[in-house]
Amino acid sequence: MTRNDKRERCQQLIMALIDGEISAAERTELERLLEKFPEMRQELEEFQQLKEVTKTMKLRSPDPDVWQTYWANVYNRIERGIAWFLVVVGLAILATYGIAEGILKMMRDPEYPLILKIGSFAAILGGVLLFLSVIREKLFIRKHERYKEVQR
Amino acid sequence: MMNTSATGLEALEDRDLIERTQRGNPQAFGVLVKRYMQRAYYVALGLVGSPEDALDLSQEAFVRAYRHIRTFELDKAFFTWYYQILRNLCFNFLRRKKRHVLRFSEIPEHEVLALPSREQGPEEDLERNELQRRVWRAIEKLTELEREVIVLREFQNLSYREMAEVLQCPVGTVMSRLYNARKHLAKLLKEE
Repeated sequence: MTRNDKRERCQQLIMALIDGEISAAERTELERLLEKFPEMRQELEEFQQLKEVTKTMKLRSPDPDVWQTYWANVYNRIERGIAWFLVVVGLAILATYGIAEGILKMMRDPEYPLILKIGSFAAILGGVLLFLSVIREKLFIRKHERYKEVQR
Repeated sequence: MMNTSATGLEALEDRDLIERTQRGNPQAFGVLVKRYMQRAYYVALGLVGSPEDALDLSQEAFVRAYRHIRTFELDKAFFTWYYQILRNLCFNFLRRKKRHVLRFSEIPEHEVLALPSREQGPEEDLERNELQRRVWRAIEKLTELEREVIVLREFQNLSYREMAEVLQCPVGTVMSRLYNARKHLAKLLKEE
């Protein structure tokens, strides 16, 4: 064990001591390490003082009503999420149908200039490629990320 | 809204509740939510420092957990899995907040800490409260990862083993992270 490793071990055991998670063997080990690193005793005291304050600190409780309605709010969000999904899917189908109809009408109409038809075709092709690229990226991430679905 | 009180689901263990949720029973999920909602709220409050945001984020994390419950592996602990969702939501929220130049410490300490009012307590209480306020202000200035270990240890009273489980790292790493966080906290307090 290098000197740095021993120092790190001493720091860890100081934490275990002030958090009451130290075993008898570790306590002996800490005493030995503190003899090697006497400057750490000062840190130990500082941490003990800090612990005295933090152990009296408590986070404020919300109104009891919050717990009464908590699950209802979660459930409403779940339900609305499904509703929003259906709305978006429905609108996407309608929009795709409308755009496709408009484009096909334009392509068949000889009055529209060729450049406009080429431009429209390029825009649609680009949109499809972008969509496929995003889907591919998402699928790749799903395969390789540990908590892929939930972190995004 | 689904009522979960009279369904007899409360006696079931997490694993059974998750299995039922995976089979499409939202009432079972409701019991899980009620079981962990307080813990979830207080973790979020410690991380983001605002009661309203903590409530919103902890609820949103439950919604996401529900949507992805089918991917949950039954040999894991539910809260450990849920915690990954919650912490990511909280950290993303804090990053967005930073970008919008809203300060974390805009929320007064008394809205986050359970302190008696200044006028009522004896002198020592007031002194202690002032010290607690100073410590809280210093905690707010820690980095997200430093604040996380302080919150889990000091406000959630998780053991090192439990912390290692939710943080998905060895116990030794938990201790080192705690040391660095407390060292930084002590430095910030001296600077105040």
